[in-house]
Amino acid sequence: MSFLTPALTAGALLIAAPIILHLVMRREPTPVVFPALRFVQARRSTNQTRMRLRHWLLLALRCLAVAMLALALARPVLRGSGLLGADSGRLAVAVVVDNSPRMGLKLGDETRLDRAQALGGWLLEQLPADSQVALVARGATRARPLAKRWGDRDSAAAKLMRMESSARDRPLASAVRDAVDLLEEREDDRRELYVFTDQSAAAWDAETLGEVNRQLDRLPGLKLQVVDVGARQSTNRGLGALSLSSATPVKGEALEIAAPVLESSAEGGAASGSVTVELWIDQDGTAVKRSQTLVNLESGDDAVLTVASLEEGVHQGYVTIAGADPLPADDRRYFTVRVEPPRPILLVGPNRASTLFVAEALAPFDAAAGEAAAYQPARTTTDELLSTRLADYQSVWLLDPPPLEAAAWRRLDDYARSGGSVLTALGGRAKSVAMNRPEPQAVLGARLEYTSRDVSYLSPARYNHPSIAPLAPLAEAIPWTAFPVFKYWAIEQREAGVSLVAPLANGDAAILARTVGRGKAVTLTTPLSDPASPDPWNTLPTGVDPWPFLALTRSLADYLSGVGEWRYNYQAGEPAVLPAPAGGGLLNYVLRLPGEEAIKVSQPSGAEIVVGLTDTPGNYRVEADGQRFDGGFSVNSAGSIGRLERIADGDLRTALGDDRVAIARQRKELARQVDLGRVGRELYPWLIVLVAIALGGEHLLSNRFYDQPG
Amino acid sequence: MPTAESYLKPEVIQQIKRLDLRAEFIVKGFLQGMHASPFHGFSVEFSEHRKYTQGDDPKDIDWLAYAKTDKYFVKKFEAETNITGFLAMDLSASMAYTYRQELTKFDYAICLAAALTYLMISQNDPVGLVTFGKKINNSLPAKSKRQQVGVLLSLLANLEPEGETDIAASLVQLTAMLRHASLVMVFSDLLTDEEEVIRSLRRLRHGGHDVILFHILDEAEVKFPFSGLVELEDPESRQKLEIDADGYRRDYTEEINAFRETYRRECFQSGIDYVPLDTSMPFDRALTEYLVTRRQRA
Repeated sequence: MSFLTPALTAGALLIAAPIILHLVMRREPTPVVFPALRFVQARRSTNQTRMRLRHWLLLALRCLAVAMLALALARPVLRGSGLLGADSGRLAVAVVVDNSPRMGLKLGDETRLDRAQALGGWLLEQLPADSQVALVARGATRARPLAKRWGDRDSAAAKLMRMESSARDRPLASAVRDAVDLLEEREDDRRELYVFTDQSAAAWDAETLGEVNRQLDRLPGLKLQVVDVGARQSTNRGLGALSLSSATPVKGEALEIAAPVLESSAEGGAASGSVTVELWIDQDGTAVKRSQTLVNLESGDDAVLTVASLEEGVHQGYVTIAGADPLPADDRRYFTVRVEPPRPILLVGPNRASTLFVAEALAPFDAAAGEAAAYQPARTTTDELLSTRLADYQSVWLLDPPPLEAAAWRRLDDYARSGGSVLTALGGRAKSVAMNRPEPQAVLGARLEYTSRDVSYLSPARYNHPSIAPLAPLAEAIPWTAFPVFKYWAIEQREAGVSLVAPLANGDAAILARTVGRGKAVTLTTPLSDPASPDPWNTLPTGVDPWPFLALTRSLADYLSGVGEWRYNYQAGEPAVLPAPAGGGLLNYVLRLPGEEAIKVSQPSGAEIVVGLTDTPGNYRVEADGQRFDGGFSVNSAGSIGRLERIADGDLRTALGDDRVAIARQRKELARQVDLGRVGRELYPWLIVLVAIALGGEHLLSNRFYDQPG
Repeated sequence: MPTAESYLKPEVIQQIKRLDLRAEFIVKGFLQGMHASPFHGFSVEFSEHRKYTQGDDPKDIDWLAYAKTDKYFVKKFEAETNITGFLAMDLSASMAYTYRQELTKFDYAICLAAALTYLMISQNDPVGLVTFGKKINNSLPAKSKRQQVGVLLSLLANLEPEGETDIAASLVQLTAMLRHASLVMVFSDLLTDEEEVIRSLRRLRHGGHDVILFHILDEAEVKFPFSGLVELEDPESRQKLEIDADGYRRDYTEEINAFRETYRRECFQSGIDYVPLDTSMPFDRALTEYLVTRRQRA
């Protein structure tokens, strides 16, 4: 508390006056003869006490009135409720604005962002002209140096008015951290922090609250001024993040898209009714509706849409809900898939029979009609390897190879270096001396020692290597122990860069992987094609119900063929990476953004195409040299943007500390908070009321006290 | 022409110096205001015969009855049913108190006593007087002669209230003195321990006497008109008390009303007429009280 005219507090000394009057200026009693003294005496003790009490009360009221009057005239001001920093310094204000797509929620004609802009603009107008303002949008990147974000009041206001919604899913806490970083620099200024938010529970989750708390800890005394621009009553229907059966389906394979349909309201409450969900796919630049389904919201089921017979190539489209609602941002979700031909794989065995198991595992001969095989295995023998054109295949699998000619290994090495993949499943035909020569080792990267007869089984400790990662969800269920490994090649030494994908239960290596040039090489120390025999190497393909073998083969094939290597669906703000067509020279391509806008880009061929401009949800297309290269990807906002449930004021206060957060909704509340924080609250009116009460009380008491007889 | 009521105001009576005139003034003023004569039925009339017994005045013998019956009969007269009144005056120092310096409680009591004496004598009621302080100081036997008024008033005029009082003891003493059932009219401010007084009053009543208690207080003792810081002094005990009068008024009034209420209640239970008065009140109330009692007994 401070005073505008502190000298006048000296006036409080005037309370001496009533005290002196009370103590010194006592009247002499008038002598009166009175026979009925006994009745006076009867009430004497209680009356004297009451009298004395009244006297003191009267004196206290008079002193209070004098003291309060002196205090009121000194104009006391209550300060320090939201400000941090020197009293005389400039004002440094950091304004965080949540501009996530959820802020696009309309109430009447006004979106939440419009409201934030209106309130924020007004707030900035109230600042002193020399204030420094830093505007931090939730969806903004931190590319610009922090110091450059400070600007004067008017430019900040203009920037705020231009602010647009951003789908970039950046935690609100990160924006608050930026703001606190900014404020931390302004040690000499008085600092204020405002957050314009819709106060949705999704934005203020436990993690965010914890982080904001930590940020506030950094600047003790700083108060977080939350300006709630959220809608208290609104219902939104929307779609969550899509899940595709495959981003790279094989031609003929049906594409299945599951879209969670959610209904969310600011007041909470259960969803009801049903909604139509439609699937649209671009065909020659025009969206065509391919499927639709009716989803009962009460059931909580996802909308599942299926589309069959997509041609080879990149296909883009979107899933949308029919009808309009206050928040359009989550009504449509985009997707991109790349339909590929069955992936060719060359299986090389000592004889045709030895490749049968793997060939059947990858492309079952008796697959159900209409079931497209993802792989197209070609079977050949080691003798024919040299005469086979390897470039036609995405991967070459050497199943129980005998010692090959050095030329054959060199071919394989070249093939791998130019992007092909080689799998070697060692078996009884391998010879350690031959395999340890430099040519095979260029591919294998692991020197063979001897054939171990230590009975064991596959026991992947972790499924984090991409070659077996698809098995991770099944990890608990796979009965590896039912498929023992009786014999395997013990590895003497591994080259640097060769990683152990999966060991055997006894700790020896079972699957190894490395990269060779642009390609990949995987080595198994036990064969995948061992026929049933009295002395088998393992029973992986020949055991009872050998589904782990099928899963492992498929998983290895996906890895070696590069399935899932490229992503086609991104969240807003993530940089998208696309494979670039091989070839020398400069690659010129056109990046088509969702809003018909196109950008021409040139970059060296062969490298990946990286697109960082992914703030807007929608389908992006990359075209190069006419139609020679065609790529694309989709960008979506976070799945939670449609959740309107709000965090209660009480929860926010509890989480952040009652004294560290103030919540305002209307201009009036904001004005009061700002006033409180900035100039403090003038106590003059309250004190004058107190003076009036004291004087009134004094008057009343003295009148009762000295009322005239009759 | 002054109205009847104006005669009964203490301030008017105060202007008359002679006590007998005062008494006459009061009574006449009072009677003028009455519509029916209070003397109705009070005349000295034949009531009944009774046998002559030795000691009866021979002149009361009804010779006509003797002629008819050959026996001596004495006429019994109405006058014999008259009540003997005793005025019991408190003569303590507190009775000399007056706040307005006009009419003391004692003066008021004397005026009242004089008027009552005048009224009683005029009805041939014998009136006596006792004055008391700590005990009975003076006493005048009850007589109904005309001269009694003068004797009584001259005695009252010469009295000066002084010293402390013991009403209870005095009343007990009086009870012992009275042989016949009488009408005892007590004039006092009763500023003493009420339990004792009430007990003695009961005793008096128990002795077969009719009692009228004229409780005379000064106007100031009823209204407590003081303000500011005052030092109160009891004229009897000389005790002093410094108080802030303004804060006391309500408490005092409550206390004095409770005191009067105690007497009123106790007197009612004992069949005593309690007449609370203060020096600002007209005399008619006291006189009415007497007359009502008189009529009940007749």
